[in-house]
Amino acid sequence: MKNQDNIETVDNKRHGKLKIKLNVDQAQARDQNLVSVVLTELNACASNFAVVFIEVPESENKRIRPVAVLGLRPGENVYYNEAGWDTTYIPLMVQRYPFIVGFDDRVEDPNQLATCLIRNSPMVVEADGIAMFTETGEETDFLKSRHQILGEIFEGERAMDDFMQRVHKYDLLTPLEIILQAKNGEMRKVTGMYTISMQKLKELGPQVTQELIDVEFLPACYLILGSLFQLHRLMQLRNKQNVDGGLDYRIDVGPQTQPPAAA
Amino acid sequence: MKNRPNIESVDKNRHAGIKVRFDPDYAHMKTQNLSAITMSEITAAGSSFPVVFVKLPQEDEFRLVAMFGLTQGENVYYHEGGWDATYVPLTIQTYPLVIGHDDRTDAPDQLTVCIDRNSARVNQTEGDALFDAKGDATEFMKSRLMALHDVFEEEKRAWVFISKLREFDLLTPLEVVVKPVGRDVRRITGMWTLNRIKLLNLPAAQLQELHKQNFLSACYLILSASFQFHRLMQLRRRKVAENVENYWIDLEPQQRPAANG
Repeated sequence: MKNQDNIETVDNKRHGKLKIKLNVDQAQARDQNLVSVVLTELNACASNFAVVFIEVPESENKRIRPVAVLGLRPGENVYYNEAGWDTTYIPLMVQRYPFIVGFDDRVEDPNQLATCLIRNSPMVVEADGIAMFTETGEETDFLKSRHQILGEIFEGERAMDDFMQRVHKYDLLTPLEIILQAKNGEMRKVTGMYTISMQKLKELGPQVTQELIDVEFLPACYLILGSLFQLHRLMQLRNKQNVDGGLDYRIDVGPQTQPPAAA
Repeated sequence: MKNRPNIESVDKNRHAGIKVRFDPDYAHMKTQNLSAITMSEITAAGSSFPVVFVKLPQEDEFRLVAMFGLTQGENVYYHEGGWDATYVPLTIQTYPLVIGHDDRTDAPDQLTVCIDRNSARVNQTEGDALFDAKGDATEFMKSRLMALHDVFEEEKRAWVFISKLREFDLLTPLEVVVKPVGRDVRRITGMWTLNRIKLLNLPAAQLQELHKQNFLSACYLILSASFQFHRLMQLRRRKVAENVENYWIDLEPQQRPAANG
């Protein structure tokens, strides 16, 4: 496997002099309405965002993943604020920028992963930024902290694979709709989202329940369900910013459609 | 038991002309740093506030509460025109209608809906009437009766919940440690949460017992709501004149000799 042309494995010979611009507002995510969530950050995300399941666009086998909802339309992030987001937490997939897990382009092993840099990001600069390497070529604490974020994403993704496998195995998903009503009465449905079915969760036998407790997936299920209340925060921010002229809304869990087949 | 003199049992004769003005600020809570919540409010309250257990003064019983500030008199969520929150607890919404003792009977433990006559929102001209011209409860009054009835019923459930948590020894102190700039570390004590490790390792039979009564999901949501201390501290930074250098949540304060208990 090879990286895209703009992705380079971070290396002191190649990037010794490069700096990363301080990114208080995470401007690259300004127009992002959904962001992937890894299992270890579920609590922090659910304290701010609704965490729902969606089909990953263009994924093989219609892969379903949890995402934090930042806005209700493509391009809409109502949590974005120039001075820093209106949140107590920013998802790792946003924080990592402009770093990404990629293939190590310095070695022959095609599957060796490493911390890579999105070389054409406007955050990668020659001056006025945070150094990745010291003058003697050692990694700075900043770069080390980026390794840590990417490591947590990598581990968290694997935990999420395991979580999703059991969510599908026990058929726990149910569709979720948000119905928006404009002041003139016009209705719009936001669809394509899923959540955990409270009813199915309750109907699981003691053995499966215990299995989900042991791997700490039962708390994850309840946190995801509870996070739906954050849709009120999203609508509060949305109406404060007067998106769509301010809307009434209703949240429907489990409308009369079937959840998609397990991946 | 007797009510304080300003708390009167609602009565169609005594309160025939009484109206209650709506207050979007819930100004009566402006200097209150916590409020009791019911178990069915854990998700809603936990989406904005830290949810913990406290022991009220002169009581041995734990109570489930939402925290609005770190010290007495501090409510950092308060905001004119609507709180910086996605939810306001039920008993705050129903105020100035409260649960109290029925002062029309001799039964000392008979509870009923009461009204706080000291509230500036209670008046003769403005707002929702409690009773109509015929002396029947208005829709407003009925909705308050229903909400307070729910609060009352829920309190029994919370009592069972907390008894179980004590039986299984799941409660553990939680302290917020604040380091103001140029001053000594200060510990905010008197709060309890669940012991996550003990909960995880509880014997299967006890876990099933909690799960069956919907107590397990309550435990998970209370635990996760501790993350809202970050929101509280964020709001506090904007509203309270104290320059905090650092703060953290200490889940093992019992290691210290002078732990609050």
